[in-house]
Amino acid sequence: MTRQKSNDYLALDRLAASLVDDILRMTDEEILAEVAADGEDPKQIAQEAKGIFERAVTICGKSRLAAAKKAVLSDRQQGSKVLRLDPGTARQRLENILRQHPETRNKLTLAARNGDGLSDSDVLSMLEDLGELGVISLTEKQDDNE
Amino acid sequence: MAPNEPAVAYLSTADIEAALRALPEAGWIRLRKISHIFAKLSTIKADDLLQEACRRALDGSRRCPRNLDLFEFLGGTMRSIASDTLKAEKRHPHLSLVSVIDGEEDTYEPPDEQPSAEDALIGEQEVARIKQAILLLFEDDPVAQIMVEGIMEGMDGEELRAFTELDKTAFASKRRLIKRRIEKAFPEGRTP
Repeated sequence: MTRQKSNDYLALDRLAASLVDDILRMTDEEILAEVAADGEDPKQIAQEAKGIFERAVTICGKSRLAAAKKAVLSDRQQGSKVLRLDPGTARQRLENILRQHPETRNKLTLAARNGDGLSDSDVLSMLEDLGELGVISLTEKQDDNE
Repeated sequence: MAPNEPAVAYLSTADIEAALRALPEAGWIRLRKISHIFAKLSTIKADDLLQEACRRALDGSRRCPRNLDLFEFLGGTMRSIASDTLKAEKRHPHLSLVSVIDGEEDTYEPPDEQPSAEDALIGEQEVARIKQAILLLFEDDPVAQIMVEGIMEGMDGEELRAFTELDKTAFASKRRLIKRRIEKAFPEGRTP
């Protein structure tokens, strides 16, 4: 349920909006003259306001970095699912996939086709590549982890 | 752009940042004045209000229509933040933003959507107190006080002028007096 705004709240809000309208209608010269009439330094006030803006820029930059870091970590966690396979299972899995996808098998080098000379990390890397290329689905990769 | 392709409706965050960086001194002072007005009639510090408005504009959480004046856009954003803050007062005493220079992030916390009955009562009392403080500023000037009350009731323009029975020159002068007196009343940008 949304609470109805009080009359006092509406009164203050209207007054603020009206005063801000007056500020928006003022020319730059009138703004500067008003500050000078108050004995204040326009340069200093402007500098302070710009400093506040720069702090906002910094906050936004940090937020963007945090979001990017989170995305990278998330990607790494997804990739590590395949890397957690034990070498024997991974090798077996690669052989099965190549048997089921002869067109892919034909594109590989002779050594890769037979699995000869491939290190464990080569096998895992190939599984990851096949996953990224869409030859095996994410579900297949997840099934391997179970 | 193709002839029938619709124009982009909103400024990008990069456009907003570039427009702000290009502001002259008077532009920054204008923004500062606007933040002080909304801060005076709310309970948030003016600097925090301006910073939060800039942040929302720069991270795209508030979007600026291309046909809207940048000051009106940021003023509207500040108005919205001040409104939320006023309603959240007392429930979030740590609302003031912490400088990132100290290694801390912005601690602004949006208000709860549904305040408790007790919170609502406290908020109402705070709003009433601020309103009374504003009206007391014009105790010595009955015409100005009537004018402020008229604005608070939603009058503006010719209707307000007729209500005060002032000619155009005197009316404009009285408006300036009201603005100046409220601006000077609470230099910290926060009501007592």
